[in-house]
Amino acid sequence: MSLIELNEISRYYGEGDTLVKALDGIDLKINQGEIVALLGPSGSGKTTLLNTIAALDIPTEGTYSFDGSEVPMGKVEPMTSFRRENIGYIFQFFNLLADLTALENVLLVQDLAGSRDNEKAIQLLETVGLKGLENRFPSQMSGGQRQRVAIARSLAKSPRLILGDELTGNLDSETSAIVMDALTKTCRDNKMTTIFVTHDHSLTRFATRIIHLDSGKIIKDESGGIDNMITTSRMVVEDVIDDAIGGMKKVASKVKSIASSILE
Amino acid sequence: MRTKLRVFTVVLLITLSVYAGVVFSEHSRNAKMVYDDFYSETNLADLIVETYDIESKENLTSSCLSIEVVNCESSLILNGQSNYTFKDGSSKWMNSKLYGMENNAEVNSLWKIEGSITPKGGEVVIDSHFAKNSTVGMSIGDSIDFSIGEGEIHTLEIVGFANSPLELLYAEPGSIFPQESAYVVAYLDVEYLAEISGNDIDARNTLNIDLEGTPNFDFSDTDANEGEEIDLVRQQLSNSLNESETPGIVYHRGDLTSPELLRLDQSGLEKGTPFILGVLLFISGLVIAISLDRLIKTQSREIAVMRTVGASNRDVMLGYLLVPLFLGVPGVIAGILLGISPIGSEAFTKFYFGFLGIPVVVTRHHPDLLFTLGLSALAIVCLFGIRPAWKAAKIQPLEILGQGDARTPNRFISKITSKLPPGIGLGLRSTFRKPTRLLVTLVALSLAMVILGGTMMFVTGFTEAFNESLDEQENWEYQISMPSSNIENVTAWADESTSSFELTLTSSATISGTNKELILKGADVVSDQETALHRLNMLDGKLPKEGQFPPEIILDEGSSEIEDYSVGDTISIDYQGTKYDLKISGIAREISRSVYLHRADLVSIVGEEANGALLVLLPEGDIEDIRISTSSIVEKEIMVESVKQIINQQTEIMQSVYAIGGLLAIAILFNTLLINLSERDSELATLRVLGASRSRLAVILTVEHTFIGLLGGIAGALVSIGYYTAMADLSSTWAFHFPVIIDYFVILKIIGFVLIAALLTTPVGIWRIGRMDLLEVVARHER
Repeated sequence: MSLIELNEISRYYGEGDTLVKALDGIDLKINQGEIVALLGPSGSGKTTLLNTIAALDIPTEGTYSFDGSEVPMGKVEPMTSFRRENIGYIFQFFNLLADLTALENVLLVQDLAGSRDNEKAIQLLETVGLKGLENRFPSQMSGGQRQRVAIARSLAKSPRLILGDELTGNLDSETSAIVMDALTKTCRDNKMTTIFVTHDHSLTRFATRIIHLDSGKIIKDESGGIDNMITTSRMVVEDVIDDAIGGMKKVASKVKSIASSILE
Repeated sequence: MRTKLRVFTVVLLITLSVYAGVVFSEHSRNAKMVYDDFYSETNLADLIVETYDIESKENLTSSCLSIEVVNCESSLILNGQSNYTFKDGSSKWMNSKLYGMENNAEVNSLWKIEGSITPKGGEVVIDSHFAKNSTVGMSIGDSIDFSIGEGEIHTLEIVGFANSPLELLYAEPGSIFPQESAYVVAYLDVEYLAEISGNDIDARNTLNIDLEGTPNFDFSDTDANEGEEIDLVRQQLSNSLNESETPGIVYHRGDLTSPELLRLDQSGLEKGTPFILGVLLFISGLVIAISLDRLIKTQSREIAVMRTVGASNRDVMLGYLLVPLFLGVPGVIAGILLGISPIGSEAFTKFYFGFLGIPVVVTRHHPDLLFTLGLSALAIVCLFGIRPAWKAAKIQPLEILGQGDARTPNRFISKITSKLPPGIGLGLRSTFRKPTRLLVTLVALSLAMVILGGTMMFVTGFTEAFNESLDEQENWEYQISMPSSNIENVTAWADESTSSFELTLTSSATISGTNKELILKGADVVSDQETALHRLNMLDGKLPKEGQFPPEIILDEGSSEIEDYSVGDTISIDYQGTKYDLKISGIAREISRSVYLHRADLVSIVGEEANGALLVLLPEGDIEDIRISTSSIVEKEIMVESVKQIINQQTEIMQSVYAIGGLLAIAILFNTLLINLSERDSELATLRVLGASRSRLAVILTVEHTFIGLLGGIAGALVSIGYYTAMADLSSTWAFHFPVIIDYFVILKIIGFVLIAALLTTPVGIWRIGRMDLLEVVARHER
């Protein structure tokens, strides 16, 4: 049985001429342990889909089941309880609580779930590579470190589902890779289902399944794994070559300008 | 919604401040007009002479020849008792003061309220305080009985109602509490009064003197002597009285209880109004500064963008300088309109003087005051807007557009809260997130609590002082005064009719070299025990021993503080021209400036055995059996009841002050906590996304608000104590001394009020969280 089952999910904004179909009849099943990347251009509906799965947004039409049970949509407190019990959420801008240390940010989520475990919180921070930084405040950490605290926080209550919205969108590519590696490794080890939204093709290498969206519809649903990784790698290599050619052109132009200034 | 609420709060604060300012300022000026007009119309005497004995008119007025006067009139003033049948059919004997006035008197003349003010033989004019009291129901043509001295009972016809400049504050001698339904002041023809009191028809004991212009006199609430000129005239007159063997005391206006207490009241109002107004506007200014600061923070990105596209410092600053003006103008206009509305200053003046029973000759609005007040209010609110506007102008685009939040919490607070659950720790730490705002809020709150808590403490201290001295210290049922010739009659009656009886000797003297009057009270039992008919509330020293030289005395706390006397000091008094030394063995809390000593010691000074008594009746005893032998009878129960009524009325008046202070405190807290909440939108939304229930967030907010409430409450209580102590000190005069009595229950009430006001914001926060669009807030944060 699938962990997540979306049937004919639609989410519309506005009405009449101004009607926007953010999601348009989405059917989707996601199994336990899958790591899913949601890809698509801006306005394709990937964030709306993620927020619907997080029980943050309420679909206009369709049904949403989680582990065989219908998710209570429309009532604020049951939706909050659902998130508390099942979901770990990672924000693009980390959204750490500035008044709490790294460790306290993790402990807070455990407290909310009613399962405070100091040792586990420390262990999680260690897992994401933050050993020794437990008592630092967010303002005393780099962007990558903050996002790793956010990952540790999302894992703190051992949720069945981890959701991330452009979770590396605010990080450089090297830090993104470290963060994604930490996240997917932990999720694989704990058989947690992970869905993350990204527009960065290179990150799909961390996914076992890639869903492409456009205009609120799933246009492509492909498996991750080695084939995908090759495709993705090829795309990455192409990007790198493009970057390199661009860089070389810049260097050549610079050399040219220096040479002409010397000749003058 | 949130911004509208904050704007409303700020405008409300300004409106309240200006409204209170208009009411108090205009009342202060109108009150001065009321007194000035009244004293001018009735020609309040510049000097009054009270002789120790009854003199002849001719002897007495001859003293005026020694000085330059416009008018010099004699009168006869006696104490007695009167009996009147009230509208409910009951009748009772009441202490009375009878003024025997010359026909067509021009000094201290009467202000007619109704009927005639020129009574003939067999007629009487009654003071309108009593006549117009709602429980009395007196009409022209009614009759009233008087008993004066040792004379018989006389029934007189009431021909008019009037007010006298000497009885505007309608209180019995020695009291400052108006007693409209239990004390009768009557105005009679002087010769008729002399006749029915058993004296010759030219008997007089008072001179009312009008000097050229209105000379300055010494104010009891200042250290300087403003009345040096009139003191010379007074000295001349005093010498002349002694030469003509008609000794007495010469008073100026500052020595007369009613005019002086009312002047002090008006002067206190005049001095206090700018302070209250300043506090109110300062509070508004602080709140505007907090709100503007928040507005600038909210709009910092827009400002940064404006700066990036070329807006100058001046452009940005000017824009934000106009905000206080936009908030201030409607607030000031609304405040002024309220102030001159039917619930404004005129209503307050009428209510205030209605309470005192003083006829209001005229009140009006004062455009110059309104203009100054409005302009000052706008100036202050604009002044407080300068700093935030300057901060806005200093915003650098790169600082705002390029960086995230780099705030590190206070280390000390983090450390002490590190062992707490993160949710609770978060609540406490966020309290100190903006220390400047917290400090400004606490300052504004403390100032608001000066108005609420300080006034509450003042009224409570005042009430407790009176309860203690008029009720708890007094164990007698009746206090009588009588001519010393009646001691035997009274004593014989007391043997049969009382369970406790003690003769007393009361007189008055002045502190040597001053006009400060001390009441000398001689008692057989000078004690601090509960069994004593009058229990002394000893603060320092010990009880006096009888038969010492100089005589040992207990001095009241007020006299000792004002004149700086301590236990062991010797105090010199002048009694009818002779100087006596008294040794202070102890200090006690008493309501009046008084000296307590053994009666036997006082006999040697006064030369009389006794002139009063304290007693408790036997069940079969009847006080009416002895009334004819007394000059006044005070029943404790009635005295306490009437004082309590006055205090209750005072407390009711104070409710409006409490309400203003309370509203201000709530508005300040509300404004700051709303700002705090709005700043935490993103944080609270994050917690909601992470699965925090509303109840969990309620706990976090409750911790934060409890902490701010406690801090604010403690600050408010401390400032209130400071204000109360300062006010008691500033308001204390020789006529009335305010002891400082700190009531811990009031402190708890102040802290509790602020705490509850802070906690009331929690449901608003929870309500807002419930309505929060998480996606929008998170997206806003991410933008």
